[in-house]
Amino acid sequence: MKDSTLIVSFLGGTPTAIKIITDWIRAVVFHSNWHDYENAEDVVSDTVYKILNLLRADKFRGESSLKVYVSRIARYTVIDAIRRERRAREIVVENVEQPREIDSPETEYLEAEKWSIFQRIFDLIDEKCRHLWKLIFVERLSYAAIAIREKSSENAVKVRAFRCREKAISIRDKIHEKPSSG
Amino acid sequence: MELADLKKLIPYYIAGTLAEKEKLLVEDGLIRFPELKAEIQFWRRARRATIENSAFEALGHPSAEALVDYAEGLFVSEPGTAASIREHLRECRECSTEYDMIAGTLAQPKQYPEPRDWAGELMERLKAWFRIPYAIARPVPALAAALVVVFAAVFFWQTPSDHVSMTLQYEVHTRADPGGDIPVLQMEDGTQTVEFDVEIPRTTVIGTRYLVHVTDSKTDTREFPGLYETTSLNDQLDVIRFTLERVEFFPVKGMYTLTIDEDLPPGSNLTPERYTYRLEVRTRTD
Repeated sequence: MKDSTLIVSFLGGTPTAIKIITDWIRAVVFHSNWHDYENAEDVVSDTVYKILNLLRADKFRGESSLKVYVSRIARYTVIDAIRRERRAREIVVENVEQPREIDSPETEYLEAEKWSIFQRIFDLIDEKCRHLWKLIFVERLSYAAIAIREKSSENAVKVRAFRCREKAISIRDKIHEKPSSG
Repeated sequence: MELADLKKLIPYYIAGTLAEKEKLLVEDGLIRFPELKAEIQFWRRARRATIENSAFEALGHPSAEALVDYAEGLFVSEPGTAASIREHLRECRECSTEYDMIAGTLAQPKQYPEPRDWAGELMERLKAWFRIPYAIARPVPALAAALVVVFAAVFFWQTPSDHVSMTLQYEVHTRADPGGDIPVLQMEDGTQTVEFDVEIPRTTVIGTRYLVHVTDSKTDTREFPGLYETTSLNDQLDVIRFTLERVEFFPVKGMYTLTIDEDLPPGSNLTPERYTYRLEVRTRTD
């Protein structure tokens, strides 16, 4: 099947096309050379989400074959996952070394779970949102200051942040769907 | 303030960048609208993720995209980027481990060239060019050295006793035919110079000077500066004499053009002449 045909079929939700691309992703994600990460199925799901968005946005330029392109995106996603899990382990170690007052174990577990999902969302959200969040939380600019920096209105800046929140919720819902739902 | 408006302020509330009045409005809203607690949780996570990610970037780690692209050789046309990632990988154990893992999943991980080692490259090229002679010579390295010694000995031994013959033939004339035999000049064995007599058509002007040039086939002009001045008048030929150094020609054999330009003294009513000779240089083996 030609790449262009495969893309159309994949975006159209054709099971065969979804299987072909998901198999390519799985071949990378489940490669024996990876270690230090556990949630390979989440990585497959995140990669499918990324591929869908990239293909919908016509970001695939055909400079390589679709298989090479998909495999590359899968590698990006695996590395992000490895880094997330490494940071999570480091935090656990910090908590052991510097005990703090904790809620019930169940609450802690749920929070850890939510945090893990949020990190995935953060890796999947678009660059514009991450940039805005950086201005808000790292540079700690007020919405008025961001409006001046971004040559926008104050209301537009506030709305942009709100939209990012909506996108994050949308991503959360998507990554919990089965890939076949497109 | 409405719930929708309050939601838009929450990220700035979490960041602590709201004006005091707005901050109080949000805190009041948190009491009035319990659903805002979910917003607060979301933006707290967003703040944490953003700060952690920013701290990670600040350490200079390449992004996942950059690391994978590097492993796949996509920075070949960006040597600066490739060099900075390579440098980082030398120092960062975690990134190096990640790189190894990525490379292990590639059929053919790309290798970026190390900073150029010109001497090493030259040696490699020489080895490639001379692979066969090198292979032959390697078991008997003395053979190559002996050949060089023999060649040098023959060359240097032969030079002093060799001689050069130069045939001079008058080609162009305007005033008169020089006539006479074609002079054949022969250097004696072991001599370094030869005295060169050139007979030219008669001139009637005492004090005429002659400028001598020798031009080889590559138009590499060699001048033999000096004053070749007529000292007597006669009806036949004038003779000019100059000296050629052996080093000028030996062992360069071939055809040359010898040109003698007449430089008449002031007040002469003659047109200056140019005499052209063909000079053939041979070695004894020719």
